[in-house]
Amino acid sequence: MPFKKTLFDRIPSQWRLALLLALFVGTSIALTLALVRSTVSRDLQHLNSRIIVDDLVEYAAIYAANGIEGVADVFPAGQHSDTNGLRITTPTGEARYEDLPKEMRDFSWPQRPPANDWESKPTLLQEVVKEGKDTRLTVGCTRLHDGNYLWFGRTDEESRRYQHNITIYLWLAGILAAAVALLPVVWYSHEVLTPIRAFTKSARHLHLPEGTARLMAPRAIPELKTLASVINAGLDQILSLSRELQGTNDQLAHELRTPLARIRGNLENLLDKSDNPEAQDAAARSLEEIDRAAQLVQHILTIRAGDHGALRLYKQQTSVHDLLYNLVELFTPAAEDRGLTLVIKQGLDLVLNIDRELINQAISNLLDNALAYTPRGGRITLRWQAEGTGAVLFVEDTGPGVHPEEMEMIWERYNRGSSIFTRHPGIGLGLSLVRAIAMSHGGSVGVMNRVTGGASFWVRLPQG
Amino acid sequence: MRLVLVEDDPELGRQMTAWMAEAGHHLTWLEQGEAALDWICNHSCDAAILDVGLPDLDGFTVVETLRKRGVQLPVIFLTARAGVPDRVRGLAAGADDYLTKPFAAEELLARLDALRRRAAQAQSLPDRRRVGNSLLDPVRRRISCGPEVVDLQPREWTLLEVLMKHEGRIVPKQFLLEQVWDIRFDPGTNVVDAMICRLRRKLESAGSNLSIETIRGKGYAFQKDAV
Repeated sequence: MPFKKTLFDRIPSQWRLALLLALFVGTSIALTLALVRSTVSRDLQHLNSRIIVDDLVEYAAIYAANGIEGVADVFPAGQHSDTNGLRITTPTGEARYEDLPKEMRDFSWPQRPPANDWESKPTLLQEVVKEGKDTRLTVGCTRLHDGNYLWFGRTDEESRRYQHNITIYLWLAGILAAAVALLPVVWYSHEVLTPIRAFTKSARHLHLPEGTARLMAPRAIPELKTLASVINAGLDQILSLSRELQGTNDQLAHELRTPLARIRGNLENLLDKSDNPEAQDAAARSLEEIDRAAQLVQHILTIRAGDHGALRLYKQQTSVHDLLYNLVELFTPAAEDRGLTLVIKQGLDLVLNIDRELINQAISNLLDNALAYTPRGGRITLRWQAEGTGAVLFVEDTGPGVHPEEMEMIWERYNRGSSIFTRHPGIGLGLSLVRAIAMSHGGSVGVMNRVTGGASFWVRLPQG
Repeated sequence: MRLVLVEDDPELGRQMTAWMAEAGHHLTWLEQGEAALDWICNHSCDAAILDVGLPDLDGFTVVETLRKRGVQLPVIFLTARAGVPDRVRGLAAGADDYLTKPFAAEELLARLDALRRRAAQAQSLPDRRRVGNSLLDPVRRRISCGPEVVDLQPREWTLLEVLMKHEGRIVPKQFLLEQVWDIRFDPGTNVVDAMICRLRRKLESAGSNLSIETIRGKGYAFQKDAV
């Protein structure tokens, strides 16, 4: 199943980290806030009740000693806030003394003292709420020694102010924590992402011939440095292997070509010196075979070296138009002999830095194929188009096309497509050679069947 | 031509000595690079054929040393390495031509011929000239035999020119590919054959007595007096 990228996977990693940290910090602050608020509010409520009970006891004592006048003297003097109110009523609820701040008058104080066993429980607390108001009033009541009742009320105004302040400080602390939580993101992008980007940049040069480019990250974290050195060690090994392969190829070429040259020389002598037509024919045929064998050796070596990135290129600035035009000139008589039309479709001329001879060889191979597999009366078209700074070269025919299942396989060594009938000798190295040449240029190859019939082989080449 | 061959493979050396003798060249065969340097500096000759892989000095070093000593002798490299970078290296070392093993005797002879022409500052061909019964006009690439006139394509003309330059000699296919199309590999399809056939038809249609013979297993030969 193809891996489907979710939205999250498409976000750059430092943003992902930042997002996770923000989520973490946000959740922490929210939890802390909820916890602190509920605890503090309960504590403040207790405190409020204790203050009310204490004040009730205190004013009851003042009343016992100095009567209403005493209370009237002490209460306003002791009032440091507008959150406390005091009343003295008769058992029927008539007010004997009342000192209520403005806000407290809006609350409906209990009319009569509540029924209570005042002997066992000398103070009683009640909650008074008022519609449309958040503030709550807690009213305490006690029976005075003369049968009157003392009421002491206190709103939670002050508690609310404390809570509000605590919330603000907590938020400030949270924002500060969030700022500190950004430090890992900064660290991550500086110490991890920057080296990884440097890796990517240097890795782009790894495919270049000789492959001496290495992963560089002088300021990376130790783990990344280890990764780089492990990869670099691998690359060193690949380089030494490809150099070894190059050496082996050269040696093999020499070992094979020299004996082939000796045989060839002798066959030429045979052809020259023999008067027997059959011997001459055999010698001529053998000469052709020797040349084919020499070319085969060369192809195998080129493919091997190309597959391992060990093919030495001799790059030159080459006009795509000139290159293809020359090939069309070369192949036209042969195509006409086969009843085929060979045309070049003009495009904007491009100049690529390529090994002219190898690319020539690659396109020749594709043309050779097209000539072999296109039935008489067909048409072979050469065209090209710019792609990025490079180009894609197409060889299109009106032949039988390529079976979809074989589109990958035909590029493999020794494979011939089944739709391809064996009209000429050889062992199907042509397309592998094309691919090896394209790959050694950092390019690629492919084939598609055209809607109008026939195959379209393409070679993609970078600028160079 | 007086030639010197530096080749350590005895079989190839023997074959080439025979070929060159047959072709009327005088060939001195040496097997070592050092010996070759001494010989070349003390003898006069027209061209050197030098194997790259020699047991003592490699061919590149020999040519570089020669050039440093001011010896302008034309040099053809023989090598088992076919890559363009190798060829470029050889030419950069100061060689004049480069031949990959295995090669045809005719190929070597044709190249020697080309070298000699170059050394003789290639006699410039006249604008219009008569060959056999045909009048050749290189500017218009036209061949006329009396009233019959035939126009050639640029490559056809170059092909004819190369074949004419080596008149009476067999010119291998690979040599033609290189001289006419600047291609150093076999493009597979019988491209050269097809082009030769077309040129031959054109010559016949003009009634020219110039002809190109195909020699199986060897190449093509130009003749101007065929019937």
